[in-house]
Amino acid sequence: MAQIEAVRVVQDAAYAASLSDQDWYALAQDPTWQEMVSEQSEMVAGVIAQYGNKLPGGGQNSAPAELPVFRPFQVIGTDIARIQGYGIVTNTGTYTENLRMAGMLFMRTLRSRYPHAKITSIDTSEAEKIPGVRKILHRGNLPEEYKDVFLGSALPTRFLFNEEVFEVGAPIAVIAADSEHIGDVAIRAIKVQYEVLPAALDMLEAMKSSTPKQFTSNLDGTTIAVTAPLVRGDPTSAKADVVVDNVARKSTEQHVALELTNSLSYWDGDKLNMTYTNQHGHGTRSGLSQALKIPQNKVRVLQTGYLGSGYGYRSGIDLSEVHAAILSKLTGRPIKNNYTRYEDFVTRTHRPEFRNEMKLGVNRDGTISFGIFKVIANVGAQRAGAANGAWVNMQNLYKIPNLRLEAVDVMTNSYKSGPYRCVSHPNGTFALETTMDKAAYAINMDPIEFRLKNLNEVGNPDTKRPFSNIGIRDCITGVQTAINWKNVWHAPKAKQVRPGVYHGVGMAAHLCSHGAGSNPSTGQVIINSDGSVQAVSGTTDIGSGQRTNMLMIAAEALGVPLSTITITPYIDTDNTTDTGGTNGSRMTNTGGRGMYEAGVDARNQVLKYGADKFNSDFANAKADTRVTAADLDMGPDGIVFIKNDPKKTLNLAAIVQFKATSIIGKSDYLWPTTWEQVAVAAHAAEVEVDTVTGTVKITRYVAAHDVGKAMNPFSVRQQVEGGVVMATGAVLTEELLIDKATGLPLNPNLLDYRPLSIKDAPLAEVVIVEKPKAYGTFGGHGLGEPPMGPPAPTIVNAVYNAVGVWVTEMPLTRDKLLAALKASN
Amino acid sequence: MRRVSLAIDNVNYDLVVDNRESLWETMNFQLGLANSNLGCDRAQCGACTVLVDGKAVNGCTVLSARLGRGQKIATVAGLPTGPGVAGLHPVQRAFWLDGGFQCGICTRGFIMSTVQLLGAIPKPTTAQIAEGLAGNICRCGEYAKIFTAVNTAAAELRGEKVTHLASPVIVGVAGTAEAAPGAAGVSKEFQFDKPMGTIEDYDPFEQALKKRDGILGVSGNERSVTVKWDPAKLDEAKVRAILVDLGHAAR
Repeated sequence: MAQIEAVRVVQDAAYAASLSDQDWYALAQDPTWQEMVSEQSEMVAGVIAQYGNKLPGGGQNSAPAELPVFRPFQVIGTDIARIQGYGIVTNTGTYTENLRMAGMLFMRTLRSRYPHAKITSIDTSEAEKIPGVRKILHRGNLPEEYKDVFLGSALPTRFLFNEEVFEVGAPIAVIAADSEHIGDVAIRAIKVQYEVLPAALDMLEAMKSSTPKQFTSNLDGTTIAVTAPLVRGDPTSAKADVVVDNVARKSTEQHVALELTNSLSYWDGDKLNMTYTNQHGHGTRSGLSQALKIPQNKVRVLQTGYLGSGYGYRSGIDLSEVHAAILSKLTGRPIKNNYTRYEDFVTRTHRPEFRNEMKLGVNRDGTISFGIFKVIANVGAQRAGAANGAWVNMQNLYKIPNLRLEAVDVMTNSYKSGPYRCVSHPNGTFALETTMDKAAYAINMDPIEFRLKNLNEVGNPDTKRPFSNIGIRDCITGVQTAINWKNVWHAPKAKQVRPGVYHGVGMAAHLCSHGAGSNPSTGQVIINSDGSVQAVSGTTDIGSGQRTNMLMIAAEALGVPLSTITITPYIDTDNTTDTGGTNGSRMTNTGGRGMYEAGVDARNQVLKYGADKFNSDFANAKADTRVTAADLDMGPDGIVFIKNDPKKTLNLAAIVQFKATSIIGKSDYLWPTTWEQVAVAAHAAEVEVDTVTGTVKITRYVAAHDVGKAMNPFSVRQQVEGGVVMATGAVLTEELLIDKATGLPLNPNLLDYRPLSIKDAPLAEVVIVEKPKAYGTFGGHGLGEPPMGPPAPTIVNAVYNAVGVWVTEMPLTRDKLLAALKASN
Repeated sequence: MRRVSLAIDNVNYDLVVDNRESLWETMNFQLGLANSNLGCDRAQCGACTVLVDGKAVNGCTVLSARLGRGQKIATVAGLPTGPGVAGLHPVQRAFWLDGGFQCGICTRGFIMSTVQLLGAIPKPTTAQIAEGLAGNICRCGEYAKIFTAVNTAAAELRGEKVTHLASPVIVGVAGTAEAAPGAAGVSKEFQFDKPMGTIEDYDPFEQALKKRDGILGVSGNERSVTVKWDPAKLDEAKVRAILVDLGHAAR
């Protein structure tokens, strides 16, 4: 299957126009494209609007206007602990990092120390002599068939070993050795000659025409893409009583999944087997298949079922995984590739640095007149897009009759961008919600009343797609009540609680496009001859409890007690069907839809074969009664009965034994494109700001999320609690820095890039709002990512309320706050 | 290379180790024991925490060559006293059923740090828990439920009866459902109208609430309480009335 460059389809109109029908079919199956559809739907919206009819599976299924009526829930809505729990708290659960195999070698990588350079020579002769070094692979001895292989989209292009490298950390050589310690010694023994080239390290400088280009392009400097602006009404002529300006900036953040990226690869004849810390088994399979030029059925990807998460950066493969597969093939030995924390920080992807230039025109009566918003994103050393992903709330959350949205993506020789839990939406929410608060205070209006007055509760104003039962009003009033807003809100800098320490309260609303389902949704439910049930799903569990939820959905759809059905924690692509990646908060609705449809299909078969069995028994007893499936029902205990003669019963074992082969329910569900499927939320917080030390302490935090229907309220609360902590890290401490002179990363370790510890973490109180969605599995809408959006503006708005200064640059460190306080005096 | 005899969970392993080899590497690769996990490579995250002679250390930066002189290494593998859910150590069971993890990569380390903490302080305050666990990072951010799990485990270790927030799925013989610990009853989280001053104010309230007829389980903190009740004896309105009666009405 020829490689279609998914990002180029979106950013290069000529490239998109050049695709054949076959190309569009191939694109729809490409996991990179599928991930963009679920994680970065704003990026693909324009292409889908223009070419959607060429993409199979899109728009072929029209959505119901309403949810079906469900039987009373037995399992959905209960608090169920993780199926992997026993393994996690003991030593019986195997994470990928715990794996080992006989004959295993360890891989280590020599990486570029310059952000932009040509590799002019490489000498591995000394390294090869080191005892325990088994193979060294680099551009010079890479087998011919892999020399044109590249990942992602071209220009700039990421080959397996580039001659011209575009980032610190670009791979130059890989070593297979008896131990990692020997590999580390060998790295230092390889001699590399670099021709150092000028590097683009500052996003705004890189956009200028004076910056040398690094790849063929019609745009200035190293600009990657300028998205066609979205214009609604007449924003440049619109009048407003007050115009508010806001520049909001975010620094580079990273996922920092605590299980370091790692894999174990071996070949079984001509078939690759790889266990890898990934969020999409079939997507990984597809990526490896393409890179290694072998069919998908010659690649087997395994997940152990225990995964130290991913938060978005491990849906697919990077160059390192291809290197490991090739090393394994050349050495004939299993290869263990453990990233160091430095490699994981630097060479995997990041939420990019953003700059937002916001202009909002409001009237004194509280109505919004116009919005002009520009987003610039630093996508790092690759072709990627991130800026226009920040548009979704600007476009949809409030009624803004005149709107202009602009987006620019810039390449620099630095941290590569990629989806990180909620992708570009935390930036969009940060930019818009701090602007909204600025406007509210400018017209002396309660920030909550200002938002409630301008809420858009209908649908996408530009495409006209409707929302389904949107719960944004309930979320905002939910936090208003939970934090006792009407009694605690006050004018800025009005409440000193201790000398130099001021109390503040702030809130933010959130809307993003994550949490709905997207193609494919598959799954199977198998009923065995003893009546026990197996749910089979390709869903990855990244820690949120997706596979526990899959089990619950299958149990509810089929209608059997949870104790009679199992699901494996692990996945093997050899015996599961693709149900997409665990990204975009989509799994409960996507893999879950697969479970739902399969469970319903199995239930229908149970009633059909149950009727056949009853009729066979009646015939044998010479009775005249005959029944059809419609005359039967199955109780929540899994016993089938005749509705008007309920003492006549059958259990599942009897029905399957009568059928003589297992009952298999399956799903082939394709998602409709009728609805504007959005997640909504609101958070509020009380803070104490110390104007002497510049510290911000969060004293109270409440969060309301509309999840349609909470499958497992226990894990729903966990997602919000955890997301608030994670996002608050980006507000208070987390930023990845580089030395502007050399381009070297300054702090890729866990002490200098500090995720929050238990001492600093805010403890969110969770309000679950349930407004069932017509498109949702059991009415649900996913929420793994939405909690990441509101914390930054919530805290910044609370700080303004406390001390009367705006700090709209993340992270909100003490030096920035103190400088802002000083400037305001 | 060096010969060592490592005492791990009361079993001796005679090994030859590279001088540069950490305890984590030895357990994970040489012995094939998934007794702890790796999160970084330089004692910055605590995922690899094990106890050596009762003291929590980072297994990624303890060299195996420096052990093997009779030091007792304790890991999660040595904690269960029997099979199944009931055989788990209270700390293990609480982290699982009270939701003290999401992806779980940090959990083996958190459990050992908690075992050391509760061994030293059987009834820790919130501040003491935070201090004792400050060396363990949870990137999923599940600190809220880590507090719950530690408090519940501490209570059980002190001999008190506890219930948990969620039920494990226990698969029985086809067609039968086994009762799981903490499974019965209706559960709901209540926010207090007026939060209490400190976690210390919460403790006597919880004790009093647990004594009421029909109350099956209680956990919480100074701002909210999660109550599990027997629907045959109580409903939400009656539970709210009990909270009012105890002086802490809920919204």
